[in-house]
Formats: sequence, C-alpha cells, structure tokens
Amino acid sequence: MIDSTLLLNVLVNGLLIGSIYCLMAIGIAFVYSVMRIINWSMAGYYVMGGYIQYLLVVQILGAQYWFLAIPITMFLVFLIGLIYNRVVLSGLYERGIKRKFEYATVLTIFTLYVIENSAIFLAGERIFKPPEFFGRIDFGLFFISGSKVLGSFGAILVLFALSLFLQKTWYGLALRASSQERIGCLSAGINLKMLDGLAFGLGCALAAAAGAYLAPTYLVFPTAGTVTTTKGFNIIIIGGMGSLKGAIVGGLLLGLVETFCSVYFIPAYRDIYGFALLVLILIFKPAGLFGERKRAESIGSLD
Amino acid sequence: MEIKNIMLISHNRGLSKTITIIIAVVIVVGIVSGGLLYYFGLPSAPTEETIKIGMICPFSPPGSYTFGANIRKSLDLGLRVINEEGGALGKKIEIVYGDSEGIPEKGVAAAKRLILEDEVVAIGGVAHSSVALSVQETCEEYGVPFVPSAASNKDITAKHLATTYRIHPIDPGRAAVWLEFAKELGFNRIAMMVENTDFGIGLADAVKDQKDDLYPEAEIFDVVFDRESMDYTSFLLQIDAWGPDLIVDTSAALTNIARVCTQAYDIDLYPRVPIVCASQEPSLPEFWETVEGKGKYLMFMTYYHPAMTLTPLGEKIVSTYEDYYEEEAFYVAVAGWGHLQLIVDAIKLAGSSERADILNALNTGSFTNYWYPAPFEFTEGEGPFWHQSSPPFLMLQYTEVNQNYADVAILYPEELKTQEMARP
Repeated sequence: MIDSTLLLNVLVNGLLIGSIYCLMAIGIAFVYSVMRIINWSMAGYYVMGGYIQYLLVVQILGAQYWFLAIPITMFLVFLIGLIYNRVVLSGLYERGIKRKFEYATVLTIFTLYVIENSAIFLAGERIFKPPEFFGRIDFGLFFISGSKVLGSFGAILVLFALSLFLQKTWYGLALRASSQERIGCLSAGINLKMLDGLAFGLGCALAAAAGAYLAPTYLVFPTAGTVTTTKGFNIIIIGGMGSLKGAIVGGLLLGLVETFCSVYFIPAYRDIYGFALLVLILIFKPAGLFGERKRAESIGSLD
Repeated sequence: MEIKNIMLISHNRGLSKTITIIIAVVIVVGIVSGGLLYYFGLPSAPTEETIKIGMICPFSPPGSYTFGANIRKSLDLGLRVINEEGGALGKKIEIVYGDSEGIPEKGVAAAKRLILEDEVVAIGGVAHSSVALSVQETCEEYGVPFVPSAASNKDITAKHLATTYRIHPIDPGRAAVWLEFAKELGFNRIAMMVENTDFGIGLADAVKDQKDDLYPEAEIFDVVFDRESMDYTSFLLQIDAWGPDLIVDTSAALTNIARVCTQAYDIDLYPRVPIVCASQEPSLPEFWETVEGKGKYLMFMTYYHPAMTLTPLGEKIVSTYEDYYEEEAFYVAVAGWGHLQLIVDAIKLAGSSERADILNALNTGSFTNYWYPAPFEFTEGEGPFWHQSSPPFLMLQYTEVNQNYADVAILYPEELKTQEMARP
C-alpha cells in the first residue's frame, strides 16, 4: 500500500528538482534554436555560476545577499558567454564553414575541459559550499530543503523573466524570428551575429543560474555540472529540440519520473528510468513532446 | 547564403579576428600549461642518479582529486625529509607521479609509462579500489612491487598476487566493526547506501557475508546508487520508509558524503537515525565547510587519531606535517608518507634498487610504520589477508559543530573509547 505522505513528499521533491533541471535544459534549447548548434560546454558555465555565486556570497556581498548574487552571477556569465561566442564561435558563421555544427561540437567540448581544469588550477582541489539560502522547511507531514524550494522558485522566476523578455521586447521578437527563419531575418536587416551572441550569452547565463541555485545543495567543484547537463540534454530530447515549452514540461516530467520510480521501484536504476522515458518518447513521438517534425529550414523554435 | 553575406560585411575585420583568436589560444595554452606544471612540477635536469618510485594518484576529475591533492602533500613532505636524511643506498629518492583520474584504464596507462619509460622500482598511490585492481595486474606482469594506499576492496589482496602488498584496512574488517557496533547498541535494522564502485559493492558484500556469523538478528536493506549521483533524496526517502535504526553510507568521496549527510538532514532522517560513513574523508580539513552545521553526530571510520599511540615514525610524521603545513594531521596526511616510507625501507633492507630484490625484502623483512603493533611482516595469509597489514580501525563521531579533529569522540576501539555514541 502506498503511503500518501511519502507519495506527496516524492511528488514535491520531483517537481522541485525538475524545475531546476528546466533552467539547464532551456539554456541548451535556447542556444540550439537560435544558433543551430549544441553547446556542450554548458556544464562549464554551470560550474562557473557556482564558483561566482560562492565568491560573491562568501567574499564580497555576504550570505544575506544571496538573492543579489544570483543576478550578478548570471550577468557576469552572460558577458563571458558573449565574449566566448564573439572570439571563438562567430568565426564559424563569418567564414563560410560548411560543417559548423561539427566544429562547434569540438570547440565546445574542448571548452568544457578547459573550464573544468582551469577551475582546479584557479580554485584548487577544494570543495566549496555557499551558505544555505534557507533552513529546512517543516510542511507538517514532512520536511524539505529550504534551499531547494527557494532554488525552484528562483528558477521559475528566471523562466518567467525570460518569457517576458521573449514576448515583450524587440530583441525577444528578433530571437524568436531568427529561431524560425534566419535568412528572412537577415533580409529584414536584423544583425544575426548580435542575436547569436545574445542567445549564446543567455544560454550560458541560464546554466550559471542553475549552478548558483544548486550550489548550496549540490556543492561547488569542477565537475559539478556534469550530471545536471546530462539531464538537460535528456530533457531537450524529451521535450523536443529547441522547444522552450518542451524543456519546461520535459524537465518536470524527468524530475517526477526519476524520483517516483527510484522510490517505488529499484533505486539504483534512477538514471535508467530517465533514459527509458527518453526511449519511449522517441518511439512514440520521435521529435519529442513539443518538437516540430518537419520544417524547411529549422527544427525548433522559441515557442 | 546568409553566411556569405555576413562574410562580406565583416571582411575587413579578418585580421583583428585572427589576432584575437591567437591571443585566446595563448591564454588557454597558458592556463593548461600552468595547471600541468602545478600538478606535475617543473621538469628538472637530471643532475644525479636517483631511485625512482612511481605514485599513481587521482589528480583530475572524475577521480577523487581531493584525495590526490592531500596524499601528494604528505608524499612530497615525506620525500623531502627522507632525502634530507640521506635517501636510500646513498642515492636520492625521486617520486614520479601519474594521474589515474580515478579511471582504471588511465591508471594502467600511467603504470605502463612509469614502468617502461621512467623505470620506477615500485609503485604506490592509487586510492580507488577499481584502479588498484587493474594497476596491480600490470605490476604483476612486469614484476614491479605495488603498494596501494586507501584501496580497501578485499580482492586486491585476495588475488594472491606476488607483487601486491597492502597496508590499508580491508572490507571484511570494516564490516565486522559495523556489525559489532550495531549489535552492541541494539541497532537491528541496518540500511546501507551502497556506491556502485568496487569500494561500495565490496563493503556491502562484506557486511552480508559476515552478518549470519556476527549478528544474525540484523536485517539489512541496501540501496545502490551511482557515484555520479547528486540528489539522494529519493534514495533517502525509501530508506526512511523502511524504518532503519542505523544507516551505513559507503560513499568514498567527500562530495557524496556531504550530500548524503545534508540531504538526509533536510528530510529529517538524520540525525534522528544515525549515519556512519565507511570512508575516512570526513576527517579532511574541508569537511565542515561542505556540511555547515549538519555534520554534528556524523560517525565515520578512520585509521589515525591523535589519541592513538604512535610509533616513533608516526610521531615524526605527525609533528613534521603539522609544523610544515600548520594544520592538523589526518589519516591520508599520515598514510601517504607511511606508504612511501615502507617502499624506502624495503629498498634499504634489500640493499638494492632492483625490483626482484625489493620484492624479496617485502616478503622476508619486518617493517614498522606509524601504528602499533610493530613490527609487522607480510605473510601469505588466507583470503584477503595475503600480504596484508593495516593500522587499527577507529570509529569516530563529531559531537560539536566545527569540532577539531583532535576533539572528536572515539567510539571504537574499547581501549581508546572516550564516550558513548551521542544522539540529539
């Protein structure tokens, strides 16, 4: 017989973890839908977010200003992403390179190794933990991590702000347009290079937000982003490549499936449950839950 | 088509772009080279003949690089002191490091390089049981003495390889201590968080193997998890639903130990239900930073504590380490130098730096390390007790937040016990 308190606890935990997975997934989907490349170095920007958050909270601002540290962290990583894109990736578009997807794959994987090893070089082998955002919360029937709850609300806030940006601003409109029709945007006089930089920077900033929100719970160390990034890639396939709506639904679904199955079935197979979900989706909806099956120029769009 | 258009627009920026890329590449190469130099040291011109000892450690992810960094501090200090005291056979000792990254294949590659290119006389280091289980085969193939540290899987010595010698505790001994401890306190529902590594699985098997003999009334419930896991809440909820009296966490690395501890605290499982860690990593200096106040009441096993009676070598290691690094010594800090000392003592005893002579010395000699009883010999014992000697088991408990290592409560063994297990 299923214990209703345990079931509720499982559902809440699944949704909390899923909502933070969403940030990473949307970061990947965002870059892909605009630039048509996959940023394999997202784990590096996640880790960067954790380190910068720690530095700001522990060394500069103080623990009580963690909520200020997160937007600052996002902005700094956004700038780093912008510069990286300008220096390393934009050449792929400017020089008529045919296989830019493959080049981008190699470059971003290499970047991940550079970031991880630079983290060890600059910050040492130590494991860092920023102070908790909030203590554990007593919900009467069960306890839950306050940092996870606030991290989850923070993730929802960031996604809401991103949605407003995409819907209400000219840049948002341009990004949505470029995700649907790059050549059309170019003929309308839109600066695609600027949009690519913006999309890449925003994707990195979202990964950094995930790293900053999860830092007190999952700690900060050079390879801390690997698992969350793997989940992010899993989610964008479940939700549909390039679909923001798909990333949100996929993130929550993955969080719920993993948590529920690992409590009620064999816990050791938690990652396999997520993979099984992915395979099922690919069998019945090969383009993902919200992916577009057929389109002349694009696979996904910022819907 | 749009790519060509952009090319036309940005044609005049080609040169500055190239310069920017060159600068970026130089920066990246600088950072990477700096990192390599930091880990492996500046290459120095060979000025005199040395005796080379190989040390394969996890210096990079996904290995336990915190362990790698800590054992290297101990090894480097030990090397310095040993060489100041004249080295061995009138020659200086030189350590050649290899990075296993915690991956068996990388460990084997490092071992082959150390054996074939650097011509080391013996190999130590390692940390991960899975790496030790692979590297020992390579050492056996080339007849190189292999002394793994902090690798506790019983099969490492149970294989009865002629070249493997271990001075680190093994799983059956550790499992026996837990079962006796649980029995004494009447904990008969024991949940095990089992890491899916040779370390975790080996420990879980050892507990199950000995349960019927040592504590037949005990019920064991195990949950296997991947060592790359970040969120343990679902595992812990399942354990909580089972209703354990005691949780044994077989996580090896401090990151996982800290996450199990803090996430169990967050769902009010711990310290309501006590947790005992299999690894000695809670003794690391950064433990309290990784758990904040949530580490109070955590129990863990280790093999060095200031309350132990140490041999003169042990006292020298501890005092030199604490003076030099200005921090409290802990197990890895003592064990690293201890392992190096064992190899150096075997070379001295052999009167030769030939691998076969060193093996012969390890087989026939008596050795003293940092613990009592001393001296000890490597006998061809049964099962995992082949070429096996180790410091005594200690079970410790943090009873205050930010507690110094010297003040930690000792729960086991009886002769060192300072208090009963504390509970909230």
